Amino acid sequence: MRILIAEDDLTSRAVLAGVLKMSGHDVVEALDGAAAWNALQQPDAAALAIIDWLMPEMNGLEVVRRVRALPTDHPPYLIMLSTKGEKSDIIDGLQAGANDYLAKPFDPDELRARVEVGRRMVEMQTELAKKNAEMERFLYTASHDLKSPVVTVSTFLGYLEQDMANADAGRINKDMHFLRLAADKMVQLLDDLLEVSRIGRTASLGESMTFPNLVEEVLASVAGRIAERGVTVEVGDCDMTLHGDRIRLGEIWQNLVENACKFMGGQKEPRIEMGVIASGGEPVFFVRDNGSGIDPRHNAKVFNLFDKLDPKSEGTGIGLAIVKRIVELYQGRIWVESSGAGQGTCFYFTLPGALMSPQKDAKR
Amino acid sequence: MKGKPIVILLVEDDFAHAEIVRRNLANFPVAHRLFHVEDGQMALDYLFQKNSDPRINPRPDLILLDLRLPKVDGIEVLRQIKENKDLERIPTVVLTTSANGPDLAAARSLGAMSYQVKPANFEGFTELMETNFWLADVRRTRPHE
Repeated sequence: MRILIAEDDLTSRAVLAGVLKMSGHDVVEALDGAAAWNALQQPDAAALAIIDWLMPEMNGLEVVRRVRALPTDHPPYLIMLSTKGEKSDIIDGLQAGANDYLAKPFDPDELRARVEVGRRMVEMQTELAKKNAEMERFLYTASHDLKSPVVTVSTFLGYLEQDMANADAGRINKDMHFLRLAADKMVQLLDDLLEVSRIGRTASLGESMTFPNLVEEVLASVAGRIAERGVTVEVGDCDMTLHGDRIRLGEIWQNLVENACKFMGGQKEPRIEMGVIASGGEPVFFVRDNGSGIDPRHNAKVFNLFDKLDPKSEGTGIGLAIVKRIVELYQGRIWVESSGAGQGTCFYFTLPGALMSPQKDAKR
Repeated sequence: MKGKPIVILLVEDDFAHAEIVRRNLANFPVAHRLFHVEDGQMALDYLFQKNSDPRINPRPDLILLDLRLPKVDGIEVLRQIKENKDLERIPTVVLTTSANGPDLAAARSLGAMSYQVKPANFEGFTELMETNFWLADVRRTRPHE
């Protein structure tokens, strides 16, 4: 992590920098308060700063006050450093906006421990900001897509009124048709939104299951789909054990298999293969079909919420968005490969979070 | 407005919304031909198709563009229109369900002529069409034609 040390005393600065560099941090130094204030205003400023109280140009307390007045999504973690060990000084520092306080002369182990607390806070904050941005995007997409059928309803109600006044039976029928479709669409979108909102919550307790076992369950749940489309399913040899929420993990394969069945196109001998390959030192799961394929230009869009490549296909475009969210819940990545239209599709994904053994409650 | 009917390309994946545009245009007293495509890729194919028959795919005088589209979104379609020196002069009107979303801001910075927030009532739509039909009519009168 990048750490700013603001300290005018050479010895103290050198010791601080030495300890932090040994712990693997990237250290930037400021020799006075004004330089520290300047450094902390930069867009790529350090996420954690250790600020001495007594410095030329601007004292540490003033630096902390000014930094806290900056509008930002990523406020830095600030540790005040001082020989001023009075309780009232500590309170002044914390009230000005410091996160923590370290007395000089400091103990290297204590410094490391306090910096570690700061690192955890910064990481948590970054994670939260990321989640927040994702949530904002999600809300925007969802509200936009939900508004669409409402626009249709309100406009066609106006048409219906006119057409009833004119007693135009043909037009009235047509208006009603569009109104019904819009209401159905609305219900479907809301059902799907509820479904997505449930993903973050675990559906069952974490447990261990083998890959063949899980796949067997999934295939049983989509047996109707598979039979209806006459799909041959092949599952590769693999006795890997997965740990996690059985229902959520199963939903990954379930959605991918349903998706494959849906986009078989005109394939006379529809086939789905699933399994695991080792790639770059980690297991990569795959679900491959020989169906209608995806134009590589549109690869990135397939996982977006309510994005459909074919507006005429059934559903709202939620299946792959769900898959992506579950994969990410297990710290994994998902991507798609297809040589293009008619060439079949292969989804690859990793699930690092489901490969680790559940942690023992040893500390209790 | 004299001569050939104005050619309008409507890019809209929602069939009900396309029907709304069609009905608004039917009440509008200017000769026009409407071409409807359902996604961004179809729009790009329509606009950039080389050697296509101009009687089947005539160059539009006006484009009505939904922003949220399958395959290629409206912003990307607009970007490609504005990067092409033959197409960038075609007045492009953005259709959107929200007046303050980030995508509308992006559309404006790319040079969308104007936008229509859905639902489009007939008065609003008429006003929009009057301005843009006028523009379309002026702009299509190219010196070499």
